Amino acid sequence: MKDEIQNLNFSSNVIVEEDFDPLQDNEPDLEDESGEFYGEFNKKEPEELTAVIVDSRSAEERIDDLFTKMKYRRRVLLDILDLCQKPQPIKSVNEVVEANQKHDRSVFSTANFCTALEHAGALRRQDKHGALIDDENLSKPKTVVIDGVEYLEAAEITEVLWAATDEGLAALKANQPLSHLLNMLENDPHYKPIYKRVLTLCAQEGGASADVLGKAIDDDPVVQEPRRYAPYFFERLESCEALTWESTWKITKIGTKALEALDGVQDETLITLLEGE
Amino acid sequence: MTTKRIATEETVTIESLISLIESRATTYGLLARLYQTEVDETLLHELHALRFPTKTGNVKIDEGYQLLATYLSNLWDHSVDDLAIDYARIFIGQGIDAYSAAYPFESVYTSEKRLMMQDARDEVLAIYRSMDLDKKKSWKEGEDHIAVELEFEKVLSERTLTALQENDEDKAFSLLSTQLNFLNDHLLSWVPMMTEDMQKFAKTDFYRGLAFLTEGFLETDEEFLSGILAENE
Repeated sequence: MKDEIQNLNFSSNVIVEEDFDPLQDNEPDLEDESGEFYGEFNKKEPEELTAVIVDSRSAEERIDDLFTKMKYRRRVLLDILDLCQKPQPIKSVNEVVEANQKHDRSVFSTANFCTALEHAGALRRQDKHGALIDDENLSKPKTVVIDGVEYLEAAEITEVLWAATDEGLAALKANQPLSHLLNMLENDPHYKPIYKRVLTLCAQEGGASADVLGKAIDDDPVVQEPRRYAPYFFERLESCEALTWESTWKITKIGTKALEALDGVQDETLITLLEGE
Repeated sequence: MTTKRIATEETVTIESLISLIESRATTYGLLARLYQTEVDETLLHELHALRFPTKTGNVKIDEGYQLLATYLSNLWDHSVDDLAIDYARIFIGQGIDAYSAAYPFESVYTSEKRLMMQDARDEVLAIYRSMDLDKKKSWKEGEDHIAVELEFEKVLSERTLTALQENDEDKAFSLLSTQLNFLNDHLLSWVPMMTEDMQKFAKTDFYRGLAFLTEGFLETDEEFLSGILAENE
């Protein structure tokens, strides 16, 4: 091996100082010119840490924001609100969430969903008498005296029920998936045959897999420009609650109504597909 | 009933000393458990069944018990989740600097750059080993974690009990002296700063109460041990 740097195998003009020591401690000096130690980047001031952050938005805005941010769990949130039109024990809410997510596991637990809805103002905690349970209305421990010594005993555990608030009920009522779906179909009339094809295939026994839908749609001339693939359509139908995922894509009651609305739409490809089965 | 003047103004019986040390060991054990990991359902219901004295003579302990009892009076199905979230918020944090949580390690509070595994860890490890103790293989954190330091005091308290029950008072007071030294040299040198940080990050009365209780208990334990050992210095 030659001594010159130029004989290194990679192309770079590395200049090595004569007194270079590869074992030298190169830790930066963390004292500034004033001599004070620093290095507390991103350190928050104490008042920032203890400050209570108040969300001044209305409940309607918070709920709308929640549904936007958790749009892939929209159905779960709506089902919780639907159930909680009458006060429900937590166990009942758990059952609804588990049923909803049986084929679509989520990192969010029932507690996460309910807490998010509570913070948004769509749900409230209450006891069986309807009294609100929150940080402003805490139960107090009992004071007991035993052998002349005073003690605190925790109060009996109260059953907590979840109930939809007025704002939560309004959000539930505002959810009109069939209307939204029909509007979507009217806004994209050239895709009506595609939507009809998807709904029809998903209405068959056992539903339709993404692969089956892809083969039925991806080569259709109408989806070449702009280029669309099957997921574009079945995800939009899912957002309108026309389809549901249960290990395959299956039609819902809303999807069945949409299919009825598309009865007059001609789709030669669909006829061919159904005849081929 | 044996009587021994043990450097307090009143005569303290060995039996009452044993009772006090039993109580200390139990409290150290409980505190260690609460810092070791999140509270589970079983522990939460055990705590719910406890009684907390209202007037202990230490304002911080009283405040701690009040907050704990209030939290335990408002348990619901999600309390375990709420406490786990608060535990993570307080002790693990979500920032990238050294000030985003109440890191439960002595090294963080006693090293210049707030790093883990510094001199404090080496010192306490040497102390543990001098008492024939070492951490379990299942414990993956540093030896200067508050749970380990508190449990060290618990173990020494239990050894003190055994020594007293075997009438080996020299050994008992030697152990008490070790506990006082460890308290002054280690726990009390950093835990008050950590509990102050806990108050900043905690959102539940449970952990706010734990912070008050921990600081107050260590203060009273220092007073107790100092009083008991005064004549032996």
